[in-house]
Amino acid sequence: MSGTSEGPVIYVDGGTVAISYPAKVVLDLGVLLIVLFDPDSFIPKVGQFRNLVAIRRTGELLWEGQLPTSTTGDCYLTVEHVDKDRLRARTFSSFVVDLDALTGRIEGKEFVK
Amino acid sequence: MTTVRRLTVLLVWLFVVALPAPHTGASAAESVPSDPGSLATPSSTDGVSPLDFAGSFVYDAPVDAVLGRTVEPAYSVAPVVGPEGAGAPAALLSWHLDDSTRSLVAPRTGPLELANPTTVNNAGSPIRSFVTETDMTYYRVYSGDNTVGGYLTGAPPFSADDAVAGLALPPANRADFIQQVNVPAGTRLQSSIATEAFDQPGGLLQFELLDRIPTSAFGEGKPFR
Repeated sequence: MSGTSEGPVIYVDGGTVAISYPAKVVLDLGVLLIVLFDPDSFIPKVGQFRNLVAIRRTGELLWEGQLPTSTTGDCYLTVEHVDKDRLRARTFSSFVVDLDALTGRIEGKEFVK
Repeated sequence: MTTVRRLTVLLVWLFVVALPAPHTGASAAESVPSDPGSLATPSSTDGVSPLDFAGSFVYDAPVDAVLGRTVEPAYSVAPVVGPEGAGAPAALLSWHLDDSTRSLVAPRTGPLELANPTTVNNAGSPIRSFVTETDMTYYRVYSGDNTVGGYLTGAPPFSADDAVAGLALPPANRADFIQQVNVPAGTRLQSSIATEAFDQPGGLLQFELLDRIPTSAFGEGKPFR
């Protein structure tokens, strides 16, 4: 919160919160922030990049968004706030998914190839 | 002789009367008072080890406290009915000793079956995986702002309708745009023939990215319809 972090940060309530990767999207839902880490900031050869997270305004991690597949390299590409507790996001594996903003759990998904 | 008899009697008395009898498991459990800091002693009637799981794992979702809303745990495992039927002790994710066979067997329950596949498997033979040796150009069709994705073609389809039919695209993808995708050397791909899906016949050669590539590799979309 000192603002002197050398890593990526987001600005919240006049202060800064350190985050693990550069943010591509930050959604302010009041008590929590939805952060989409830039998918290009980490491209693993093995495993996935769970790059959609919710954090408190103080920076504590609340959840990492569930991914719809177990495919190597899968991650989120976009996210938007579509309803009170609902997020809509798109994945590299060509799914559009609806997530519960309070838990990060997938509520519905559609394959768009 | 008398001395020998006396010694014998003394030894018998020592072993039978003076020394404590060895404990059995049951008597030890009964004689030792329960220690509040130790694991509970398993019941002698249910036959279940305390290491068996009989309920569900529950995370206390921290967001509940923040938002005052009851939230189902994000990751939970439903209780599993044991082999003896409803209400019987469950053996969840644990191997147990089957009394009838006296061998280690997996729980004979249905709930541990694999879930249904999450994707439409419309990849038909020949299916081949390979790694690109040089930078390659592929093509991709999409609708809306879905400008990045893992399914490509080796050549541009003749038309949007041809792409929808031949690639068996789902309704959300009408192939309104086409873009070039620059796949870098060293990328794993899988080629296959699109099979029938989403009421479309399929039949075109398609490539699935098995490695993620940078979003900058996806070129600008051009209207295709």
